[in-house]
Amino acid sequence: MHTAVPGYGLAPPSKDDALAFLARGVGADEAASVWVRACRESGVPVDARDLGPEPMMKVSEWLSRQTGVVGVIGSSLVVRLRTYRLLTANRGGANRD
Amino acid sequence: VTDSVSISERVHSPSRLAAIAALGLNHPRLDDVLQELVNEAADGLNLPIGLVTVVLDGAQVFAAQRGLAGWVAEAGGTPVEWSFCAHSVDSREAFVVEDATVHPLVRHNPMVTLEGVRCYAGIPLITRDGEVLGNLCVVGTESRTFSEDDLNLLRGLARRAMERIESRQP
Repeated sequence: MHTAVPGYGLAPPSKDDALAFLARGVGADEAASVWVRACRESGVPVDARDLGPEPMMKVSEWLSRQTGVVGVIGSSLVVRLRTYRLLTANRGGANRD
Repeated sequence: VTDSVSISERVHSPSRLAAIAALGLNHPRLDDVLQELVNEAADGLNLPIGLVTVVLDGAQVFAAQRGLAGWVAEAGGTPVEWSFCAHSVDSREAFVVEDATVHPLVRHNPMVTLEGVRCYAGIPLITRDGEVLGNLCVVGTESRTFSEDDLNLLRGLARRAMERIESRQP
């Protein structure tokens, strides 16, 4: 479990967050299939219950390279993960994978 | 999510996100024209920061920036709930903050409480099809007022930014 950065209230996006973002953008069915493909292409376990920031970044970067709304959602996830990583590093590296 | 921004359905609109994707704006690239416009904005209003932002569904990214440093510059954007510009996506109008420490929509925003933002003025970037992409904006670290002339200057720059964005290849 990765806690929020103190003061900023920012937790890294989880697998459930990503699936929810995708479902809102492209519908639940397509979201599920895109997620499976993204995990496979990124070398991340498809059925992991949750993913830490580093595997989430791999999946998000793959999503960000896709066309259309999926790419936009992937770019959002990348920025959120990058922000979390930078703020965490500034505070001594707690919660890193 | 704090009360720094109420994320509206407009921010998450699939048609708006599709417009951003079609213009290739989720992967900002160096653009001399947009860079010149944010330079003009910051210089014209005598503020340290000028930006062209694109508000995605969960984050904003900077299509051009002048004056950012540290983690914000390195991240290339922020989570959307910290985005002042997202307010314009919601309202489709200019968003102006003269003293962020007392403004009800942003006073608890970490960009104010921890990063020192004190004033902001942004003009929405609206496509020919009516989708709000983000803002052309200026940001400062001291409270100040913005005149109608200030906002007109930003409106002119935002218009030129949209002409540039819609004229280039994605």
